[in-house]
Amino acid sequence: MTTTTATRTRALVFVAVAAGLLLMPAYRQVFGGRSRFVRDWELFNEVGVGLVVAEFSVRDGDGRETPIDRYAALGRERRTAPRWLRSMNGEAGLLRVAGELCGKLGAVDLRARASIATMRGWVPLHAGEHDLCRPLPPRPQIPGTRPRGHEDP
Amino acid sequence: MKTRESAWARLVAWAGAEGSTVPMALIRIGLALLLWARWGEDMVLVQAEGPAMLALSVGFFAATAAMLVGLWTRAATATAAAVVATMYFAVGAAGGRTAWIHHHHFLLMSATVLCALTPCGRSLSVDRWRALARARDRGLPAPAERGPLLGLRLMTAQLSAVYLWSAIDKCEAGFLSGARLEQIAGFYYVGSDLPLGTGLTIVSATAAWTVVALEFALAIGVWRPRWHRWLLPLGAAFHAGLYVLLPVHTFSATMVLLYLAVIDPPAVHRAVAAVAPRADEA
Repeated sequence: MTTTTATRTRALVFVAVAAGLLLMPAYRQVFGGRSRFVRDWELFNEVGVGLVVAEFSVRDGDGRETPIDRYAALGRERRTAPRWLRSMNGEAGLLRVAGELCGKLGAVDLRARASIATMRGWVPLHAGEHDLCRPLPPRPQIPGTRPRGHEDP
Repeated sequence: MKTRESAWARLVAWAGAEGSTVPMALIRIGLALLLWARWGEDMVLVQAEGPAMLALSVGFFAATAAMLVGLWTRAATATAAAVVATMYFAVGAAGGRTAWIHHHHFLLMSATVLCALTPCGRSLSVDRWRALARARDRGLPAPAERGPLLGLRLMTAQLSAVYLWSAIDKCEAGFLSGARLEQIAGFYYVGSDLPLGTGLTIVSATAAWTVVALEFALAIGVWRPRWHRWLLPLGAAFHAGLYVLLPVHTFSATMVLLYLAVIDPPAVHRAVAAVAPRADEA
């Protein structure tokens, strides 16, 4: 087969453009650049980061814990519950629900076993060590519980 | 040295090849519809703020409509590509309208630009119909539905890049443990009531490894025709699942549409001929 100039030109265009398409994402994904003009392919990358999964319980004077359903305790149905109750986001989201429960249940010792979503996986947030109806002592911030900012704002 | 020369010769032959224009015509039609699905509502003239956006809106609808039916197709597709690139880079990236610069917007824009590099009006178009009428009037044979395949080859590169970098992004413990998929399921469906530490973890970890393996296979496999028969249906099923489960907008549909660029053009041509026999043969 004879290679024409047009064929060679097309091949060169292919190499140049394909190299751009294949290498461009490295700018953001390897080197950490954040230009809006360059596309990465980090799809659904930070969705769900900060989500808290928790089970609440009330501890009695003997140290026994009774699990509570946060929807029932607040007189809501899961189907129609507001988003802050269905989907707790960050420790602040957990404490908001805890505050509502404390207000509804009165003077109880409210405990939670909770994990928070990070890019590294699930990280323990509470292991029932604190009464959430009392002010919490200062705690170190868990890294990775907020989006890294890889998504364009 | 000889191997390098023969590899370059093979690349030149492959990238510079000519073939059926039917796949690129199908992609052109699909892209016009996807552009309307994604941007149509935003581009309605009543939404235009100022003369520049009004001109962009008029250009968008005029070019995509001509692109869809294949009228002055090269110019229409090039205009559509210029308009969509302006929307992405000038209005979206530079102008701060970040709702227009998501992954699915880029993919649509990129595919439209690459489509503009193809002679996509030589098949399934008003241009084709007019060319046939001209040839008939002059007693000439019907013009061949053939052209350079460069644009299709570049769409293959775009597909490969998406799969490759998406798979690389997922190669971290958080994803491969299944936790990231659980978090996504929690965010969209279950909220804070995820049953962690149950069979869900096994299912999501298995799904995570399967997704990464499939994406790496697709990144390589789009270049390997022998893999297409089993790999592309798996890819289409994967995207169908994503389309149903997550708000991917036009992303899944665009990816599957671009599979037409990967498949051997004569095979696409034969398939279209089989389902759409010539009217005068009926």
